Amino acid sequence: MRVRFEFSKDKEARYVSHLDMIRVFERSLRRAGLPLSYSQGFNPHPKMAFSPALALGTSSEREYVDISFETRVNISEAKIKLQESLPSGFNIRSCAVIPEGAQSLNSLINRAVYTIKCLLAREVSQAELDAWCSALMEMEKILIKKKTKKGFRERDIRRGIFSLNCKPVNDYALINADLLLSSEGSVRPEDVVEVLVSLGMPVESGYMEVRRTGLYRCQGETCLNPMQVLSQVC
Amino acid sequence: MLQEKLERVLPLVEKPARYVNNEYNSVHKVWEECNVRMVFAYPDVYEIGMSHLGLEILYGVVNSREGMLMERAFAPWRDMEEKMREKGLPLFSLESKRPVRDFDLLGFTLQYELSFTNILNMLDLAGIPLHFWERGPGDPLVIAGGPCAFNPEPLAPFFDFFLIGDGEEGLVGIMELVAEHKEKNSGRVVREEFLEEVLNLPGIYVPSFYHFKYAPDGTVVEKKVTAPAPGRVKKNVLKNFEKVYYPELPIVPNMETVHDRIMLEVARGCARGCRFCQAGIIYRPVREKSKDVLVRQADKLAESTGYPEISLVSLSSADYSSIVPLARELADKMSSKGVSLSLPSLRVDKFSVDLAEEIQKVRKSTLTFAPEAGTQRLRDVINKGVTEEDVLAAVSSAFSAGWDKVKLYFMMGLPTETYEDLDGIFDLALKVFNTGRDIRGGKGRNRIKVTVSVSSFVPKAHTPFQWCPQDTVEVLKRKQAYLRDKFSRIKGLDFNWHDAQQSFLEAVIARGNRELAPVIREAWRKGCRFDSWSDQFKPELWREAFEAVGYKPAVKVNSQLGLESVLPWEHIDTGVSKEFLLREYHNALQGKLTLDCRQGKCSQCGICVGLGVGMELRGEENAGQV
Repeated sequence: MRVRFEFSKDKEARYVSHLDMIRVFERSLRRAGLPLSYSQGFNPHPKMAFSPALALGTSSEREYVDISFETRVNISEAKIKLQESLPSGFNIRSCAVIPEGAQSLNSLINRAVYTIKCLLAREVSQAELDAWCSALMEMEKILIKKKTKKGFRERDIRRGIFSLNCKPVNDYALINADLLLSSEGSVRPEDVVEVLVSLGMPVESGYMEVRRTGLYRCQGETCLNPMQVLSQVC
Repeated sequence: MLQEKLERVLPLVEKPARYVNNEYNSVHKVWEECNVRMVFAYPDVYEIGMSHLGLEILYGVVNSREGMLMERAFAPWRDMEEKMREKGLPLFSLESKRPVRDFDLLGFTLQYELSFTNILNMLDLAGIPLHFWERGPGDPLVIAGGPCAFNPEPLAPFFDFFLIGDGEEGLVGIMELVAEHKEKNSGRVVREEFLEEVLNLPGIYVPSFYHFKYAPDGTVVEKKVTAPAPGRVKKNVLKNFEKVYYPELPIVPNMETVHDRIMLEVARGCARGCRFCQAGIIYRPVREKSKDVLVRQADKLAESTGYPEISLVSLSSADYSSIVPLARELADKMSSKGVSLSLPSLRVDKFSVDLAEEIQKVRKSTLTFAPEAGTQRLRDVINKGVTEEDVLAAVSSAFSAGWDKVKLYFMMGLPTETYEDLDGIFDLALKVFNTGRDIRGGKGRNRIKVTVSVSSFVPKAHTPFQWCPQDTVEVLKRKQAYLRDKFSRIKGLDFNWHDAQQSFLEAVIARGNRELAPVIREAWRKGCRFDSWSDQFKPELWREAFEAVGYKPAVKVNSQLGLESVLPWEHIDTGVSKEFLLREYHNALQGKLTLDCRQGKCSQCGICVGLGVGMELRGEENAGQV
């Protein structure tokens, strides 16, 4: 039986790396006494699949994990037990049974929404911020240099930026960005900030807070999150 | 405010999880509800410190007491240190993110000599004066314990006092006394008064009461002890080991640590009597827990941690008197919970391997053995009590059972060593390798690998070899080159060695006296940190520090110390008599073996008489067959 859990990753938990998070969940599920299913072989590992990795230090409102259980579990009970066993910073929001043949999280998700908090070097107005955002959205091409094993490679990220808006809050700019997330080439929130800076936005370097607010499957105008594609959500 | 500064810094450093907290089972007590508060400081990074069983035990026992609080602090890595200094962020505790300076006690564990510069760095980052005489009413009592506290002199000026010996009851005693003292003194610790009061507790060494003059070779020519301190400090020793507190809710780190599994301490102490081994002396006598207690603890630990692996911890787990019944019962009980059992520190014999084979159901990778020396003659000198037949029988069993990687640990530079003994290392390793090839065929999936790790002998305080010289760095390097050359001819047989300069420094500190303290401070001031990390170790800065202070390390380490001289650590009493160490020294030179008192007759080490304790063996039957 497979169950999808939606959870947030806040505070200290945002410093738990993706690899460490797999171990954290494995141990939490074992503490919870839930019948985690393991792969066969010399090095059995738990059958769990997470949504695409978050960068270290990025918090998230909605992450997902698909977990296989050896026997049937009552999902509302499983949710409570798992929550009690997780270290602080991880909060289970909801869960749902995954039907046979459902798409994996990785192939399902193609969109990520972020809130980026940047420290500003000077006071700026809403109009200025709007101008930088629309300047970016009006660009035809945005070439980003990406480090690869063989030096640098240029990549156009323009088509991976779906929407962008920005507002000033105290000394900060709060940027909302709706970005492509796929195996062929995701757009990172840092890339967007870099472009805005090149357009003149006065961002202080060295401190940025990134929060992922949602992961979606978008087809045309419709976007559904990985829970919405399932029924019987708890 | 500290929290806010920290938030700004964390995104900029490597592995920020080292500096946050809230791991599962971490304890967050209400500050105001506790009348005595301590930080346990581990002078290395988080992932090493969190692998230390002593931390879990002390953290558990202190926090289990009402009114007592213990939090943790680790050495910040270089990038974090830089940011902390830049932003004026003091050393803080993980749990409440308070400056370490706010606590009543700051306690360091001294696990290895090459962590000492980190201690000074942590004190400095905490804003606490380095020397005990510079500290005032606002500073915590700075204390230490652990194996290196058995020669406390190189660190003596930096600590208010040391706790020598077993810590779990000793530390609680200290904290009770601090609480009492604070109540008497309207919430404050009056340092001078407290240091006299604490002398009444067992195992307490307060360096300010002791004064020494030393000879050029480092030995003591004059010792002055001020009343009311005792002339010698007897180590604190736990009696009834199985009844003593054991943490059943250990912290489960969020980031991967070095020993990322359940640690079940089955016994403390080892009486095998390897003559180079300090742990074998300072943790005497052997005390075991009964099988039933261990099985119950394992059960609880599996539930409270969720770890898929449990490791039986002690200096030599295969020597636990009812190891077979214990291992069988644990393997059985744990496998039903999906927990696998592992036996570290395998003895070099077929028995241990067969036992490992029986209980270790998963993850066959590497088995490690420590023959320590290459010839029978030298193995007899060090009292290893292992024969070539033992080694080959052990590895045959291992290769037949499916292990394909074997690691062999040796030491070079042992007393009386000649090049014949170095040849012996190579010959034995080659025999192991050929045995494996004969058994496994050695091709494709059956390819085997033998890794030989050769460390350099370091003379340690309180051992029968404490008087022995260490080979000079040049000699060690020559011997390493000699072995490297031999090993390079055989593919599949790998050779590793330890940095000779690091081993030299380890010996300098292990056999150091109080005059070494300014050198450690100078080395730290020049930028030495994490000296045990080969990529961080800076021998040239140490050389400068020795010169600046005028401490001559070579003469203290590369020469034989007089058997009649007073050694810098002799005022610390392990309970093992000097007569025994001398007798063992002479036995070594004659290649005479001394049996483990669990198998043979009493070796008269003096521990049971000296400390008024006895061995605590809980065997239902001895050893037994697999």
